[in-house]
Amino acid sequence: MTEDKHDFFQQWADFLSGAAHPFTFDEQIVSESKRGAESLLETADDAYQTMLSHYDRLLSQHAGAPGMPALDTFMGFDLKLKDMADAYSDLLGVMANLNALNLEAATAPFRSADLASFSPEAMQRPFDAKWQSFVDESLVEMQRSQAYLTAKSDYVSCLAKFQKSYRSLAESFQEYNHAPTLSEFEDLTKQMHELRRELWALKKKLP
Amino acid sequence: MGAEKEIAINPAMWGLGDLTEYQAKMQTGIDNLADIHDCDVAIGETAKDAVFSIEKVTLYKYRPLDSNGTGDETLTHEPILIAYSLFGRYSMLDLQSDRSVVRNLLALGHTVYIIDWGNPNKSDRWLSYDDYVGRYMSDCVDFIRHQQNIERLTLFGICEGGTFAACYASLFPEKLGALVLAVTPIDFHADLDAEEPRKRGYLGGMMRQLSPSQITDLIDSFGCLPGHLSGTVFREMTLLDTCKKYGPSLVEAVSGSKEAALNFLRMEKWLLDRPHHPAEAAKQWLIDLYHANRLIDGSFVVNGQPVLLENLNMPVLNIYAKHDHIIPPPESQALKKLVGNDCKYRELELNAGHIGAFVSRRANAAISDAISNWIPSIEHAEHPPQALS
Repeated sequence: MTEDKHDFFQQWADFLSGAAHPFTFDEQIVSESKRGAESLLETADDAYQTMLSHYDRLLSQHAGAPGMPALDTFMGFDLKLKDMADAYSDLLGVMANLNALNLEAATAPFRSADLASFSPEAMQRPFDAKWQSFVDESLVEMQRSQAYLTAKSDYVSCLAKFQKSYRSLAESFQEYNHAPTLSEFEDLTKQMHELRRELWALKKKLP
Repeated sequence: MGAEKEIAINPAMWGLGDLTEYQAKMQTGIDNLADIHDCDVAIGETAKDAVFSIEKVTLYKYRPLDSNGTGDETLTHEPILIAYSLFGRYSMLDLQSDRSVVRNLLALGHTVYIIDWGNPNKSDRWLSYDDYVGRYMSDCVDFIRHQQNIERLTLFGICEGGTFAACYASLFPEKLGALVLAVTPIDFHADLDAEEPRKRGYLGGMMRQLSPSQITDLIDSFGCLPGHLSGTVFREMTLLDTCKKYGPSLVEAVSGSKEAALNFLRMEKWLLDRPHHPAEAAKQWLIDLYHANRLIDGSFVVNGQPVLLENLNMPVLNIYAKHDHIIPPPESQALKKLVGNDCKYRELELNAGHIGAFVSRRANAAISDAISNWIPSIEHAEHPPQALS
């Protein structure tokens, strides 16, 4: 990076002065304007890449550690997006854990079976039902195990975290787009609900 | 090695012998589905009129089966008011004409009302038991008492609707001639001692594992307890059946006669139409009742008053299903030890599951007969009950 190349403001000024003559078909001016624009784009891209590298460095330093300083680069939107992405990743993890427990329980009877000892006569319809009942029992037992309940508890926490972060991100959009948010709507409905109850109670007191 | 290979490709084991039959069934099933339209899959068809409403809640009165609905019936028994759960639609009681508790009761000459809780959405998140029991159910009961000029009626609650009904009965025992509960949880921890895993409730186990703040966070994050989420939990309870139902069993379900396919599709339509549960009422259901089991020790509060089950001094018919995987029977049976000393209490065990109690022909006939015999004779009011303002 050279000093001239990064004189962003000078290049911006050059570009603007070139662009200030759009209807002047002087070859030299047009050519200078084009060069200015190309140079400006190059610089902007360079600056953007530099910013991203700093941002990545920040994120990697704070990975896993709560309390990253809330820089208002994108009015908080970037951090909310990051929270949602993190929550989604956690949710996928616990879902995979639950699926693994289900799969393990569903296949347990097959893994412990000794297929070589089965006669072809045993492989008839009632046998299907028997197998299904083994699998069903295995699933029901697993669903009552502490491992499953813990996995389910993790799932509930992650699902709530994901939904909250999703809602928070959506509310950012709503705020910056002049739309009422769900939280504001809840404030309003709470007041309406209390008024309805008061009205109902007052009606009961009427003769 | 050779013997093992033989077994591995045994046609009977893989059901290859049935392949042709299976393909034929699939063809019939596809023909059936092509021939059936959504409008053919009608549920809750028994004629009824909306007679009262409060906010999103509607009270319906069924027309007598042999009348044109002019309302010139003569009451001999108390009218019965049915309250279903918020987790499903009341149409379960009237799924189809030959499997309808409502029609059975009408055929036996009873006057039947039913509460439709409506379609709660996020604007209803603050509704709690104070509203469902203290305002909506209370107003429906008072409306019927006034309309029919009677002191008391019979209240019939199902599942969560039964818990509403039990709460209402403890707060206003003087307004009920009889109480009927079906597949209703009362002691939410009564399944804990069961040795057999299947008899320990799935939802109960989960709610006891979760902390109140986890449950609150989950519900608050959605602004309600979404119908699709509760539907998923119900499907998880019978995981293998769920997988089979939309897999190999689907062909069986739709490949019989057109009427058999319609039976299957009616139930699917009911299952699909699962309403959202208002947030505050869901927190009470899952935290106060499922997690903390407050109904049995008198610490559950509705409209500022403790719900005391010992106040239940009217005749109580408690119906539970032997194979109920959602509400294990001990959770319902616990009521026996909690009702008042003067209470005439009877239990009816059905050889069915939670939903089968209402859709199996035999079980719903048994329910209807038992309820019909439980409804007291009419007692007209000396002074007409006050009209609702």
